[in-house]
This record gives sequence, structure tokens and C-alpha cells, in this order.
Amino acid sequence: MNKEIFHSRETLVWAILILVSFITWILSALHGVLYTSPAINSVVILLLAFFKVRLIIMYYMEVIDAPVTLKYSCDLWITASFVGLFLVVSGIAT
Amino acid sequence: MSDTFLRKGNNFESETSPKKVKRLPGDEVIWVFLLGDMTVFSCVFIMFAYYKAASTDIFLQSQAELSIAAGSINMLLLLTSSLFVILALKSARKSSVNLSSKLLAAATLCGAGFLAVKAFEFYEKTSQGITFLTNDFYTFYFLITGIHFAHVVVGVAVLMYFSIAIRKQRMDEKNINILESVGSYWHMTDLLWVLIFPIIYLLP
Repeated sequence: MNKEIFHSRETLVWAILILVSFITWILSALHGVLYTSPAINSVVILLLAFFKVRLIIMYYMEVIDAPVTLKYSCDLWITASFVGLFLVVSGIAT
Repeated sequence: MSDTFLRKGNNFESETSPKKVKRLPGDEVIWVFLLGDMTVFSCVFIMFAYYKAASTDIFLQSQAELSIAAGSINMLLLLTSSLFVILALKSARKSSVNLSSKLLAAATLCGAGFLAVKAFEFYEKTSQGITFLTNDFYTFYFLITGIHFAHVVVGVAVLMYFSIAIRKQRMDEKNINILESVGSYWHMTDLLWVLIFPIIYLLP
């Protein structure tokens, strides 16, 4: 197999995704040790999740090279989804 | 819809990158479908969080019965499959159809692995008498992960088809466009799991 294909931006993104996944798992496992508020823990985990989602959209779905209409639509979905979840898990909307 | 804009390639590419022109990956129809699907899932995620806030104890108790290991393995499988899919697309653009086919096959295997792990999780729960009707948490759990499972089944079937068909196809603009749409669909199933796993399995 042509190994050069793996020496790319996409492979770097994969490594970042795996690393962030591991950090998320650590944060979840250490809940109550780093900080006691479940709301803070939830918001941090969600931020990391949406960071990963944006990486996938931009670099795997190639939206970073797409017309601005699509880029704005995707960012709008990311923002609206995060804000909606944030309002609920933080207790603001419940 | 298309804007024209010239950009330099980045330093992580193994080949000399040409100046990039902004273009739509796939077509408008697939993107309307993808964004619509993602929006529906977002609404269900928010509903899940809302119900969880109202019945926190039951949700946390049920969440503790889930396998973090299984969810983590599935995260690794889908993230890796997405890498294979995007690399397959890049190979196809260079007309390296054999390499593209192998990468799509590898992505298919990862997807099949996800389905096997998830099916085992479903079997384990149902054999313990836990179903869609057990409580609100499990209603959402089976609904969300079940619909996601169906998405992955479709994705695996399509990836498997293209891993074979690509060897017989000429990589013209039309076929590249189709492959981009297929890839985007698969990446959507991946990003949905990136959200499902923390929201259902991890959030305290």
C-alpha cells in the first residue's frame, strides 16, 4: 500500500480526534476529582465533542474548501446544537 | 452557490498541492439531506438532555449499566473508518483505484466491526430484559442508537459496494462526485457517534 497517502493533513486530524477522545474519557472517569460540578464537567465534555465534530466536518467532509454558504450552514448547526445542549445541561433551560 | 477563491495547499500534504478552488463536495441534494438528518438528531439529543434533567437519578443509574469500553471501541472504529474513507477519496482523485478500493474495504471492515459491537450491546441489554419500554433513558437509548445503527448499516453496504465497483469505474468528475457524497454520508454517521457516545454514555 502507498504509505505516502497517510502522510497528510487528514491523518493529523485523525490523531487529534483520537487524542481528544482519550482526554474526554479521562475527564469523564475523573468526574468529581477535577471539579465537583456535573454541569461544568458536562459542558467541557460537550465542547470537546463539538470540537471533534467541527474537525470532521471541515477536514473529512471537506467543508473547509467548500463555498461559504455551506460552511456557514454547518457552523450554524454546530453552534445551535451546542447552545441548545448547553442551556439544558447547565440547568439554564430546565 | 459556488465562490471562486484561490488558496495555497498546506504543508501536511505529501505531494505538492495545487491552488485550491472552493467547490461543493458531493451535491446540493446530499447536503440538504445530511444537514436535515443532523438537525433531527440534535433535536433528539436536546430532548434527551431535557428528560435527563427531569429524571436524573434514573438516567444516571441506567447510564452506569452501559459499557464505556464498547462505546470507546466503537468511537475508535468509526474515527478510523472516516480516515480511510477520506484517504480513499483522495486516492480516487489521483486515479489510484486499487488503493482507493483497499481503503474503502478497510473502512467497510471498521463499520462492520462497529455493527458487531453495537449488536452485542443490544443483545446483552435485551437478554437482561431491558428494552425500549424499560424507562425513559432506555427509550432514548434504543431510539437514538437504533436509528444510528440503521444509518451505519446503509453506510457499510454502500462502502462495500463502492470498494468493489470502483475497480471497474473510470474516475471521472461524475464518479468522484458520487464518491464525495458517499464519503460525506459516512462522515455524518461518524460525527453523530462522536456526539451520541458522550451525551448518552459519559455526561454526568
